Amino acid sequence: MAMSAPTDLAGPSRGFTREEGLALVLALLAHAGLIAALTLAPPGKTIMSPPERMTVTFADEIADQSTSPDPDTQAAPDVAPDLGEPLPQPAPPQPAPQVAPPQPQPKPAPLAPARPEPVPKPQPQPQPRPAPQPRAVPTPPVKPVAKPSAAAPLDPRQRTRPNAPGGASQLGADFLKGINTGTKPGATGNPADALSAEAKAAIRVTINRKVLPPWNSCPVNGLEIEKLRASVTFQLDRGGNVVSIATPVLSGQTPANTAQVSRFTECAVRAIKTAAPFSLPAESYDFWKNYKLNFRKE
Amino acid sequence: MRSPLVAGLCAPLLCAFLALSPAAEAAAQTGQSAPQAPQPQATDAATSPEEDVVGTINNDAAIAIPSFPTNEMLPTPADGGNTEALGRNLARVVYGDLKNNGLFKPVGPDALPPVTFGEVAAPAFPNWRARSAEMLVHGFVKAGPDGRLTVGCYLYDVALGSELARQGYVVKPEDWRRAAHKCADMVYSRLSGESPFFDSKIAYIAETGPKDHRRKQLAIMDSDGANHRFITNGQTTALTPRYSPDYSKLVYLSYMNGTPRIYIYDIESKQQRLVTEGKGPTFAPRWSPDGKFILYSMAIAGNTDIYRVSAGGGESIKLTDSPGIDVGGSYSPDGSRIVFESDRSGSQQVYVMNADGSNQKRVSFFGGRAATPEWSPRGDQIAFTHIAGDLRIAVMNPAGGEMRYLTDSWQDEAPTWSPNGRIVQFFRTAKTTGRTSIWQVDLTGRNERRLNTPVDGSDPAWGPVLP
Repeated sequence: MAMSAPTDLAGPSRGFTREEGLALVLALLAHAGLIAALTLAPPGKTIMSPPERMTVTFADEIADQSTSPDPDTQAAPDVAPDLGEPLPQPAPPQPAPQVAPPQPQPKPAPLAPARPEPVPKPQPQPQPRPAPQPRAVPTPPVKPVAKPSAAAPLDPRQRTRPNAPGGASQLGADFLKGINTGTKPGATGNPADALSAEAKAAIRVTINRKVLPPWNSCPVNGLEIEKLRASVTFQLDRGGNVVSIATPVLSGQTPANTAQVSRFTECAVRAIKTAAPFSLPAESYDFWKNYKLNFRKE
Repeated sequence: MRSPLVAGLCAPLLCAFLALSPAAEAAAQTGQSAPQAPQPQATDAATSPEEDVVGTINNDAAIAIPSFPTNEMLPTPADGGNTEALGRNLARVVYGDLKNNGLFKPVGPDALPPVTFGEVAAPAFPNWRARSAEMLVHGFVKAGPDGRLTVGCYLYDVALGSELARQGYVVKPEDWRRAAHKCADMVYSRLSGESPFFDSKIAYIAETGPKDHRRKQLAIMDSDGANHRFITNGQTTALTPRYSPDYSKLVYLSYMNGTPRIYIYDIESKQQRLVTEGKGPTFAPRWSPDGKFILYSMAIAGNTDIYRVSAGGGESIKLTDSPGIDVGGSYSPDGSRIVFESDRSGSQQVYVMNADGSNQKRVSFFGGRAATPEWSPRGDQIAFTHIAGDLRIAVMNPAGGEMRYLTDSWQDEAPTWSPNGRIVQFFRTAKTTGRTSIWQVDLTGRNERRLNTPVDGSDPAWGPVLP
């Protein structure tokens, strides 16, 4: 309505015809309407926020197997395979007065349970498992010893650690029931289905770092040496010592480097022998007990 | 594989006790892993992890060479006067050979504590490890009642604490350097895989006098420059000497009667004779590998061709028949083929033909000119002078492929090979003064070094390894 006045003024002064003026007004109105429509969000529609950015990692090694540790499947047993070991504690009365943490009253009680202790212990020994003693006496006795005493909190007599703090435990009596305990005597706990890439890389670096200096200090010189490759497979024991070295498999032989072939393979074997023993993580022994190195020089 | 080689080396030099205990040899070949060797491969090779170990090609083998002890200090006519001083000199020669070769980093007797006679067969490995020696050379010297010397030589791997090789030599006192060269040869060939070469001689042309009036004498010396001797007195110019394969003779070019002719000089009798009564000048003589024939070139009316003549004399057989200049034939080590230089295509290029002159084919096609080809004693390479502006020493395979430059100077020419085909020897002319000197370079193009000669030298030629 307010618009009509300007049109009237504009019309005669600029020489517009009435239709033209009308069309101009209509066009201006339509533009204003369009701008308003676009600027104001139409009601009833929500604006979608852009999706959050995601970090993508490219792994060159994928596996069907999980490499994350699974503490439950092969947990260390809570009972020593051989319960006879800790027996020879000749003085049961001594530890008794010091400890008995679950009991608020140290003095009256300890004397009574202290004596029966030697008796009940020999009993469980035949019961638990007579059979599973293939790995009889490695290290497990040491570790499990601590656990069994804790795993049977109902027997306060077993908690005889001399340095244990006094007072009540903050752990409930049922706490340990939630922990999975294993049955395999040799288990060391925390196994994974497969070795992680990081662990493999660490082993690779360890071996490479030890083998490279003796490989370099055994010079092989001549034409087309860079074409030679010697693949050497070797076997290690748990201590990282070389048990055996297979005959090197050579490739890349040419007429020009034939003379150097025997020294080349000899140097490869020498590098492994000189580098040993390797200090590698014992828990992944199955991974590195057989190893293959491809030697070359550039 | 190694023991026949050692035996072959040893026998002609009056070897008293023979090398290489069987155990050491077995260890050397199998790496001491023989018993359980196939086991890991058979069982777990498929699942075992696999890694690459990438080393560098270097010359970092630290070899300790202490003085060679003696069981009893006795006087000897050999260098040093007594066996104890001689033991030090022996170790010095071994050290010098290995050091100049460039493939190793030896430490000589003057920088090492002496060892006792008993340690030679039972080295104190911890001490040598502490000195960070990788390899250890031990030796001893004994004087016999007849004046002959017995020299023992042992090579040990310090890191492994094992013996790699041993040899012994009985020599006349004046040949004491040869025992040291044989010892260096044993170490060199055991560690490099190459055939030995230190115990060999070099013939060359010694040059003296002003640039426009050079006096050129035939001279010989050991491979390390020792025992230098002039053969001709320099009144007539001598060129391009070549040792016969048995070292008894030298064939060379002499301007004795004004025109260049080929003579055979007998080292023992000091007599020389003309190879052939040709019509024109003859030059560029070469022995066949068996020493029975001599290749030479003869120019008749501007046309030069290659001929073959029996070393004992007789009828010459013409092998090439092109209108250009065919010159400088050199036999392949099996004697079946000859590489030579020809300008039949318009410029000097390298050609190969059968030993009877058939099937002549050009093999050099890499721009510039190619001259003075020389077939490697190993057979897999041909060395030649490549001329494209500067003169440079280059090698290629017998088919003309894989050409590589070994040197980069103003004027390097006339390559010849060490007896094992690993080192190329040539002479270099200085740009300003025109003075010549003899140089050696490893087949890999590294370890270029100048040979010490009392006067300027050119046209070097290596003889075979001494028997």
